Amino acid sequence: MEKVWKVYRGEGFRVEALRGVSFQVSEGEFCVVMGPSGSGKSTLLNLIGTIDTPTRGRIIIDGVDVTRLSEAEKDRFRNRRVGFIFQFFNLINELTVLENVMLPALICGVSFEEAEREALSLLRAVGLADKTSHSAAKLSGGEMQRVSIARALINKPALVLADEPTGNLDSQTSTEIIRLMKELNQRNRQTFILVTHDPTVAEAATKIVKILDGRVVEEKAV
Amino acid sequence: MGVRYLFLIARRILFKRKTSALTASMAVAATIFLISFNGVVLGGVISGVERDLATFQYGNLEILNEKEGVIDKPDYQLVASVTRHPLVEAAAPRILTLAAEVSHQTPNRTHTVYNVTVVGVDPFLEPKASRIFNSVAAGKPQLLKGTVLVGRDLAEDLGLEGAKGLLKVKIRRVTGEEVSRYVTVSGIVVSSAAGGLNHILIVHIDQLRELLGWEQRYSTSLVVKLSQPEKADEVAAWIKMQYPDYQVKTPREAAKNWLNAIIEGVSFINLVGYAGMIASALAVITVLTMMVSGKTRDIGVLRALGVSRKGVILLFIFDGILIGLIGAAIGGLVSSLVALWLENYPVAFFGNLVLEVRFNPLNLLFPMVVGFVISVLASIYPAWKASTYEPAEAMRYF
Repeated sequence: MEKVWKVYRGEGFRVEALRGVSFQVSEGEFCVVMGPSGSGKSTLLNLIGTIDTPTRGRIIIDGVDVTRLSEAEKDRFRNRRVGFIFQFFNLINELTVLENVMLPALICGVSFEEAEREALSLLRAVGLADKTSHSAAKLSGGEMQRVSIARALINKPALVLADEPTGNLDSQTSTEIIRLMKELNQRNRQTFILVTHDPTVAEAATKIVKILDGRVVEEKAV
Repeated sequence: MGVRYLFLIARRILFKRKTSALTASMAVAATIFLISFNGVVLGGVISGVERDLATFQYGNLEILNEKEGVIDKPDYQLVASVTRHPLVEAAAPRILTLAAEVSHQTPNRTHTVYNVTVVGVDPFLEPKASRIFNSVAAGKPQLLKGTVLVGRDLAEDLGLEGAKGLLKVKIRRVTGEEVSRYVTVSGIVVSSAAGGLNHILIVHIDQLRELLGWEQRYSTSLVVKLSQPEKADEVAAWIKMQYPDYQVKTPREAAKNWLNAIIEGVSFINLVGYAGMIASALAVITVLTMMVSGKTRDIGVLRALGVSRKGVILLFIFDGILIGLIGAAIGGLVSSLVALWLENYPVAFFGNLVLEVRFNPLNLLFPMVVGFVISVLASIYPAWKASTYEPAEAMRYF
């Protein structure tokens, strides 16, 4: 990221969520972005994931300046190059576990059969092979996050973004989820960027970026 | 990018909200039913009116001399000539005139009705050409000189109790001379309004000629019954060639004003159906808008996963398509069942008018297509609204 600013403007207010943020994450890193609530962590992740647009600055992922992409190109970029893991899991409740995991592959244009095969393999990897036909709404928090992880990985993205992935889980489940993500990071050499204010998550990091009031205050390799 | 997955999500979202989906589908179905029911019933009324007009008043063809008012040829000659056509089953002369007054004396008072339509019929030829004699509801279905058949409403106005009594009929001749005769009631006739018998007096044609002072066997019209009524135009052209001075009319032409009034009524009632379409469109818009509001977060998630704005639009249009298909299926099915029921168990409207319903599945096609298209069109606004959500904003929504 190069001197990225994000300013929210409205009638009678102006909020600088990010103020000239610059940092770099190398391929295959497990980067943890830390900071208190309201420091701009989630905004940062949304900008990297192209679901929000910076006011100024450049974000270069895998050699591509994503801030210059058209909307259609961003849609394709998000689908193929980025995997999202959310604090509230954000599964589609009307779909089954298997269908939720298949979804990004189907959006990508992969055939149903191939998407199903890949999704089953990922669900086995996250330990949910026996719950494929369950409704997503009926899973526990930990199970939902595992589904969310499998969904994020189905298109084999270069970058996985996780926004407070353990924020809604108990401590034991949180540890399991972080261990799982770390394992996948090491096995697949995919870059992970996690946003959290939980210091225990940072133990798995290969790089830590600390952010405060919209500015990077510390960036260190671990 | 395939769209099968969008259809899967659309189906799941819709069927998860069964009540909303059913409400919107039923609104579409109700509109389809309303329009097709209007078509079936009012089409049945028009066919019923045409049937009764042909059966009781005009035959399949009516020959007139509008210029002179009187067909100045002996009736037997005209009947013999017309019945030479192979499609003509029967023909009968009639005289239509007005009685200045008809009165009936009861023990307490004299009942008088002025300007009564009197139809003179030939009791031998008429039963072959029309069903006037089949419409006798009380008394005897026969007509002799000195007897009359009285329409049900006229009988009531004259204070008749059953098919008996003596009537005094006063006729004003063209010369201005007034002639009166006493006649005996032999029967009461009843028809639908289109049959036109309820307010008239039916007398023997020879007696009416005598009252009018006609010495020749002239008439005012000739009713013609055809073996194939659908070929009326062909026979009419043939008759016109024989008698260029006379007019030959189908019941539709003869009762143009009557039928036009009904058709205008049909058009007006159809407006109700079209207003219903607006209501069903609003129902679809409301249901889908509520669905879009309820799925804001999911729309954000789908956008984050790479679904384009077009994809989001398509997703909710698929819901409109599903609602339209379900609504059209229910509406079409119910409409078909009702039309079939009315075809097999005819019901009477406006008194004695029995509906003449002929079920044609093709007639359902238009309201079904319109209902479906309206549902799809109504989904465009909610779909567009959904596509305007920004993913980051939408995912904050719970």
